[in-house]
Amino acid sequence: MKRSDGLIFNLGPKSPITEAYRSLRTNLEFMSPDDPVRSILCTSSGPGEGKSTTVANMAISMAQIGKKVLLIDCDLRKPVQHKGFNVSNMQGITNLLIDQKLSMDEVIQKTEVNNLQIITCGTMPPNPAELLGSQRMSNLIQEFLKIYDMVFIDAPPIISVTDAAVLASALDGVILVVGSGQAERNMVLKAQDLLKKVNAKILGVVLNRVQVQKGYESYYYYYSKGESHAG
Amino acid sequence: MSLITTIIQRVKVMQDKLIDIHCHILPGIDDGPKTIDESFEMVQQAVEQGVGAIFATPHYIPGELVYEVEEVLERVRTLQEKIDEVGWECKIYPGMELYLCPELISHIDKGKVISLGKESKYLLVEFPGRELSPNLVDLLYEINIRGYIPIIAHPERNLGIVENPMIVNEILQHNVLLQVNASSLLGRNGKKSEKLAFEFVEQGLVSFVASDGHSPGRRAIHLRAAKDVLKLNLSNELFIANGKRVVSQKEVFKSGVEYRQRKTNIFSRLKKAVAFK
Repeated sequence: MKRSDGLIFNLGPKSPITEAYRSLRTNLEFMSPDDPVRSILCTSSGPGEGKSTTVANMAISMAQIGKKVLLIDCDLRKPVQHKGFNVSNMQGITNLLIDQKLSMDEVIQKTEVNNLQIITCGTMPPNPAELLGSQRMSNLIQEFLKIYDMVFIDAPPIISVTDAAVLASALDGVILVVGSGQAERNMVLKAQDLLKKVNAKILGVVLNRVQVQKGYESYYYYYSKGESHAG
Repeated sequence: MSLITTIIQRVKVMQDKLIDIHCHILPGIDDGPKTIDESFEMVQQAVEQGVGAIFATPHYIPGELVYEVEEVLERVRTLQEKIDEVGWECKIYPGMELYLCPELISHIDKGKVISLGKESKYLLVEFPGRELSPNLVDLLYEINIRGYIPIIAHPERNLGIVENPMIVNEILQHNVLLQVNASSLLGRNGKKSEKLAFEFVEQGLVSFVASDGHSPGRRAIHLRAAKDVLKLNLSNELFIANGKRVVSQKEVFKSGVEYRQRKTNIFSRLKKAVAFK
């Protein structure tokens, strides 16, 4: 399966998965009316729970309602976002952090989704945590927020490395992706602990990979088919 | 009826000329032949072996060994004229053997490199002899999204792969084709490379066998001898048919997708286990 196959712009507006992201989007929008959440980091307790796909789809979903969105691949140890969106990874956030002469425009790339732009990982560095925890990184995020309505960040799993934790404190909130039947309870609690320690605001938990009951699923597909015929 | 046509097709293929997609045949440009006479001698050896087309693929190493596209084209024209004068049936196509490094990508973007035959989407790419880092393998993705398909030159000679053949699967995750050297199949590059070359071929991972010839002497073209060590059907694909597909800019096929290490028998495994203790 290609990486891009799981992204909702390839699934169509009536897929149950797209619908799920739609409701997730609504939840985010209604979260805090006074102080809207604009910079979001997405992580998980362990690897392989689907956080990269989740954050990409959240970003797409937001862009689809006209918000100007930037997605940054800060999983500097195992970057995948460039593959999902089929863009180059020659220059990315690491290059922007290291090379003071490089301008933002040189690393920001368009995607096939309107309003959604992306900064890929770039050259894999030997010291990811230091880079992400740098003052320059928080300055950059402030710069991005002047241009974009929302900034989404794909960060590595929180238990294994400190990268996500150091970044989390500079952002409005964190979404924790939990692979259903995969993540261990203790690990998830530990992840929550780690995030609380750095004063990160946990916006919520996305339960991923939930087994949908057969009848329900086919009903959903039937329903969506009916809709598209009518429309 | 269909049997007859298949037989006719078979016979036709047998008469077909071999195609060498990787050869350092241009004089005085890299570590290949030094003079046009040496080049000519190589062509003669190739023609005698039934080779009908050669891709001239001088080394191209960004920052170290670079030259203009036109320079290659000019040398190809000169060599071709000389071949035509004596009336040999051998066509020389331009190309380059590109050294994989991050700088290569910008050279591709600036149009400084030549794909095989100049118009095809196939780029002959070699890994550094020893190293095979994930960062390098990721560059294959960059080449892919630029619309090119890398043909990996002699993976069986890369020390990283020889020591740990399973990492060839990292390469195979991208849209790539593999080319092994004729000399490897003939055991001229050592036992390990020979074994690996045959394994890759048997598992359907290889699309081309090429000479990687550098001189009329020590590193000469040995295509015919290598073709004879493989089964006819298979060797026709690897020495002729796929080369033709590159010439005519068609899709090249391969049957395998993943390298599987041969299972060792119980005795050698026991031996290993004892050795560890």
